[in-house]
Amino acid sequence: MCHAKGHHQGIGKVKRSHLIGALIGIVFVGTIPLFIRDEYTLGFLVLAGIVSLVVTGLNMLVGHAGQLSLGHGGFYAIGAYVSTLLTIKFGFTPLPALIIAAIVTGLVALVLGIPLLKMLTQFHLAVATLIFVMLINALLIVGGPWTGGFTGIQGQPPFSVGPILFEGDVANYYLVWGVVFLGILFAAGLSNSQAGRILRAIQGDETGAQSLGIDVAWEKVKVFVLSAIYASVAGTLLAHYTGSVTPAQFGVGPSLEFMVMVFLGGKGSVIGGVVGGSFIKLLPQVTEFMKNYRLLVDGLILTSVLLFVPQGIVGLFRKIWDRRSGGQSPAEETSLNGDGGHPPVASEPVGGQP
Amino acid sequence: MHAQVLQFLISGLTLGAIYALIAFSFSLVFRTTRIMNIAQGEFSMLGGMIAIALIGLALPMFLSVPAAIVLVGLVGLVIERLIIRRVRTFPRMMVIMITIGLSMTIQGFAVVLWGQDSYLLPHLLGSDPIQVLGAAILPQTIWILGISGALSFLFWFFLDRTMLGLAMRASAENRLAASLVGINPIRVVQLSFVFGASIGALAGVLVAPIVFMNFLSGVLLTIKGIVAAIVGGIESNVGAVVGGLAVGLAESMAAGIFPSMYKDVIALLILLVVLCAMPRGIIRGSAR
Amino acid sequence: MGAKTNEEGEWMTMKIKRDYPALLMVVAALMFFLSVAISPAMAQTASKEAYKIGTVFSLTGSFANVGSMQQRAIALEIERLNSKGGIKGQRIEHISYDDQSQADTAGLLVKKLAKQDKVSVILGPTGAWTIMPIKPTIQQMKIPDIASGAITINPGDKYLFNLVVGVEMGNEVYMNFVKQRGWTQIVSLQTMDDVGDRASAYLKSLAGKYGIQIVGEERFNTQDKDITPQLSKLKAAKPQALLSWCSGDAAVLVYKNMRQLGMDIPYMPSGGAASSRFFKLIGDVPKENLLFTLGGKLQVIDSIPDSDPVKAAGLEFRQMYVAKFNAPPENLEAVAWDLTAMAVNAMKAVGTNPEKVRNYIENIKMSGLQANYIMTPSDHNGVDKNSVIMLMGLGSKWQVVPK
Repeated sequence: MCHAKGHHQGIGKVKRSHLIGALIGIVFVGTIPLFIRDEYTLGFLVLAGIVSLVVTGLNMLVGHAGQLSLGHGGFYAIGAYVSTLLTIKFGFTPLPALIIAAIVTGLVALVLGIPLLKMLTQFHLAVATLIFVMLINALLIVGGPWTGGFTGIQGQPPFSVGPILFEGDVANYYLVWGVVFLGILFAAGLSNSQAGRILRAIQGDETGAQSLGIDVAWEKVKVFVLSAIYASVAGTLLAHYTGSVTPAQFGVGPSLEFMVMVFLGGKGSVIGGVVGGSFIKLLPQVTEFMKNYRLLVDGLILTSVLLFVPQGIVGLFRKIWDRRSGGQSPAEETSLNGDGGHPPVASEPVGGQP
Repeated sequence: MHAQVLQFLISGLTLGAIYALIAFSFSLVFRTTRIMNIAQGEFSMLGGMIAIALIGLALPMFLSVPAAIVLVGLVGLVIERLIIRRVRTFPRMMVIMITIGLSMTIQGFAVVLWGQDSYLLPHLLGSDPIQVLGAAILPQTIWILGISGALSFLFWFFLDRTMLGLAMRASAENRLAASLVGINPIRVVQLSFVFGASIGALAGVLVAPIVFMNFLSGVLLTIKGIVAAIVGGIESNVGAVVGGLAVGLAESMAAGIFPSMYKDVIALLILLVVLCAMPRGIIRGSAR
Repeated sequence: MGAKTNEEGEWMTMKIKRDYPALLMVVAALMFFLSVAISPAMAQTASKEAYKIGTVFSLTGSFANVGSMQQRAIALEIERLNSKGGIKGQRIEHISYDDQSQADTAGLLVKKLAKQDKVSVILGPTGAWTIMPIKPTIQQMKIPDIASGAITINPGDKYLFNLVVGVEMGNEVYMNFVKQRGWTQIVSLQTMDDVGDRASAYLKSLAGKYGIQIVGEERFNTQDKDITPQLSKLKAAKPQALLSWCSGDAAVLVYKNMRQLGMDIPYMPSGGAASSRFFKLIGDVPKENLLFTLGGKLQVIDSIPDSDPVKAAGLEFRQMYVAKFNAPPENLEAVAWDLTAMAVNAMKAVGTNPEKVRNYIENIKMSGLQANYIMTPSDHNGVDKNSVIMLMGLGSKWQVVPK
C-alpha cells in the first residue's frame, strides 16, 4: 500500500484541511449551548444527536458496503430496552449497561446478519430487515412484565460514567454529541483504512471483490454488526435521557426515517449522518406552524430534496466546491466527507500497488 | 371445532386476498421497472378514500368505485411523469427513498383533503354474512376472493401470453435490448405504473367496507403487500397470490391456534423463517 | 506520485479552499435551521400574572383523531369563558402544542410549557402511550398535569391527574350491571396493551366476588383488521355477554365482527366508545340488549336536574360546539371540558402558582360534564362512581338504562 508521500500535510493520515474543518465543527457544536439556553430547543438538539449517531452507523453499512437495512429501529430498540432492564431491574450502573446492551445487540446482528446478508437481492434484504424490526416491535408489545408492553418502561436513571452524572439537557447535549463525534472519528478512520477500501470495492463489484480473495459475506456481516452497535449505543443514550421507552419509538416508521436520513445527508459521507438526522428531526419543528398541512409540506420538501439532490446535502456542497476549485477529483481521497458514492478508482487496487 | 378452523381459514383468506392484490400491484411495478415502490399501499388508501368521498357526495356506488380507480390511475400517471421518469438513472436505493418521501406526501394530501378521521365504505353487496358449515362469510369476502382470483389469471395471461405483457417483461430485463427491438421502455413504465396504481386502488375499494380507511392505512397495506410479494416469490406470476394468502393465513391461524396475544410475533417469525429458507419465494419463479 | 513543491503547495491551498468551505456551508445550513427553530421559542409572552393553561395533544400523526377533538373542545371552552370575562375579569391564555403523536416531542413540550411559557397547569395528553412517557418530565418540572387517558397513577405521582373513567371503575360498573341482569357467564376480549392487561386482571378478580364466570378470554391488537378468529373461539364458549374495554375503531370492529358471526349477545365497549360516530359506522342497532356503554352527563344533559351547577354551562357549551363544528359534543369532549373546568376552578381559587394549583386540584370536589369528581391525595382520578350512567344503544341512539 503506497501512500503518495508528501501529497498532504497534517498529522499522520489526516489531511490538514479536515483537521481545520473538524475543529470548526467541534467549536460550533460545542458552543451552541452557550447561545441557546432554552431547554426545548436544546432537548431537540440532543434528540437530533442521538438520531445522528444511528444514522452515522447506518451510513457505514449503506454508504460503504452498499447494503440496505429497513430495520435498524430494531437495534435501536434492543440498545434502549436492554440497558433499561439492566439499570432498573438489575441495578446496573449505566455505563456497563450500555456496554452489555451493545454486546447483546452486536450478537443479535451477527446471528441475523449471517443469513440475511447472503440474501439474493437488495430487496430480499430490505424485506427481511423490515420483518426483523416488526418482529422486535411485536415482541416489545407482548413482552408484558419484561418490556412493559405498549406503554413501555419509565424511570431510567440519567446516564453516568463513574461519579459523573449526565442529568439535564445541557449535560446530555455534550454527552450525546461527544459520542457522535467519536462515532464520526471512528467512521472516518474506517473509511480511510484498508477495511474501508475493501467495503467500497464490495459495493462497486461484488464478484470482482470476491475474486480478489475478499470474503465478501463476512465483511458485510462485520459492518452490519458495527452499524447495529452504533444504533444500540444511541438507543441507550435515548433511554437514559428521556427516562422512558415505548415500542412506538422503535418501529418501522423510525427505521425508514433513518434510511431517508442517510440519503438526505449524503450516502457514504461521514458527517452525512449528522446532516440528515438533524434535518429530519428539526424539519417538523420548523413546519409546525402549518398545522394540517405539515405532513404534506414535510413530504414535499423531503421528496424534492431527494429528487434534486440525490448525492445528499453534503454531496451537493462537495460538488459545488469541486467545480469552483477546478473540478479535480482527488485520486486517493477517502476523506472525512466520505467517498462511498463513487466506485473505487482504478488506480487503487486493493491489496497493494504494483 | 371444525367450524372454528373454517372461520380462521376464511378470515385468513379474506385479508390474504387483499394482500395479494397489493402484492400484485407492487410486483407488477417491480417486475417491469425494477423499482420497489414503498408508496404502493397509498394507492389503495387513495382508492378507498376517494370512493368514500364520492359516495359522500351522493354519487351512487357503481359510479364511485370505478371513478375512484380511474382517478388513482391518473395519479399514478402523474407520479410517473413527474418523478419516476426523472429517477431512471438514480441508484435503486435512492429511488426507494424517494418513494418513501412520496408516500409521506400522499398521506399529507389525504390529511388536507379528509382530515385524520377514519371512514368505512358501504358494502358492495349487502353486509349480511352467509353461513357456511357453521362459519360466516361476508359477501364482500367472496368479491375479494373472486376478483383476486380473476386478476391473478389475467395477470398471468397478460404477462405470459400477450405481446404487450412480454414487451413489458423484456423491457424490465434489459431496457436497451428491448428498445432495440422496438419496444418503447418509457411507455412500458408508464403503463405499468398506471396499472399498478389502479390495481392498488381496486384493492383499497374492496377492503374499505371491512377495514377502516384513514390517511395512515396505506402504510400497513404497503408493508403487508411487500412482504407478501417477496415471500410468495416476486419473480413468479402466481407468487403474489400465494404470498398474499400465506401472509393472511399465517396471521389468522396464529391468532386462532395460539393465544391471540402472540399472533403478530408468531406470524412474523413464520414469515422470517420462510423468507430465509426459501429466498426465491414459495413458488420458484421462472427467472433463474 | 511524487509532486513538486509548487504543485504541492498549490494543491494544498486548493484543498483547503475546497473542503473547509464545504464544512462551513454545512455548518451555515445547520445554523439556519437552528435559528428558524429557535425563533418561535424566542418570541415569548412576558405577562406575569396572566392565567395560562398549556395543552399538549396529538394534533397530527397516528393518534390525531382523538387528540385534535379534545384540543378543540378545550379551546372552545376557554373562548366561552373569556367571553364571559375569563377569571376575575382577566383573559385566560391558551397555549396549545402538538406532540405529533411522538413520545419524545411530548416530553419536550411539557418542559417548554413549564419553563418557557410558564403555564400554571397542563391539560392532556390523551392516551397512555403519550402520558406514560412524559410522567418523569411532569415530576421533574413540578407542574400539575390533568390528563385524559386510562393510566395508573401511583402514590408517588404527585403532579399527575387523570379524569377518564378508569378501567377498573368502568368494569366494576359493568359487572354490577351484568349481575343485575342475572347473566352468569361472560367472555372478555381485551386489547394488547396496558389497558387490556388491567381490564383482564380486574375482571378476573371481580368474577369470584360477583359470582360471574368468565368462560373465555382473548386479546387483540387495536390495529387488527379482523377479530373473527378470536371471536369465534369466544362464541364457542356460549357466553351471555361480552366485555371489551376498547374504544374508537377497534370497538366498531368488534361490534361488526360480532354481527358477522351471529353473536347476538350484549356487548360492552369502554366509555370512550359512546359517540354518534360509532353509530354512523356500525349502522342501526336492530334490537335491545345488544349494545351497552358508560356515558356521561353531557349525553343526557337535557334531562339532568337544573340544580346541577354544570347544566347551564354545559348547555351553552354544547350550543357553541354544534354551531362551530357542526357535530354534537360527546364523551371525549365532555372529558376535555372537565379538564378545563378543573384547571380554571383551581386558578380562580388560588391564582397562578403551579404548586398551589396542584394542591387545590388534589382536593377538589367538582361537578363535571363527564362525571362528578372527588379528588384526594390517594385518588388522582376522583370519578364518583354514582355519577356514571349506563347507556343502551338502540336504533341509532343511546338511551339511559333505567336503574
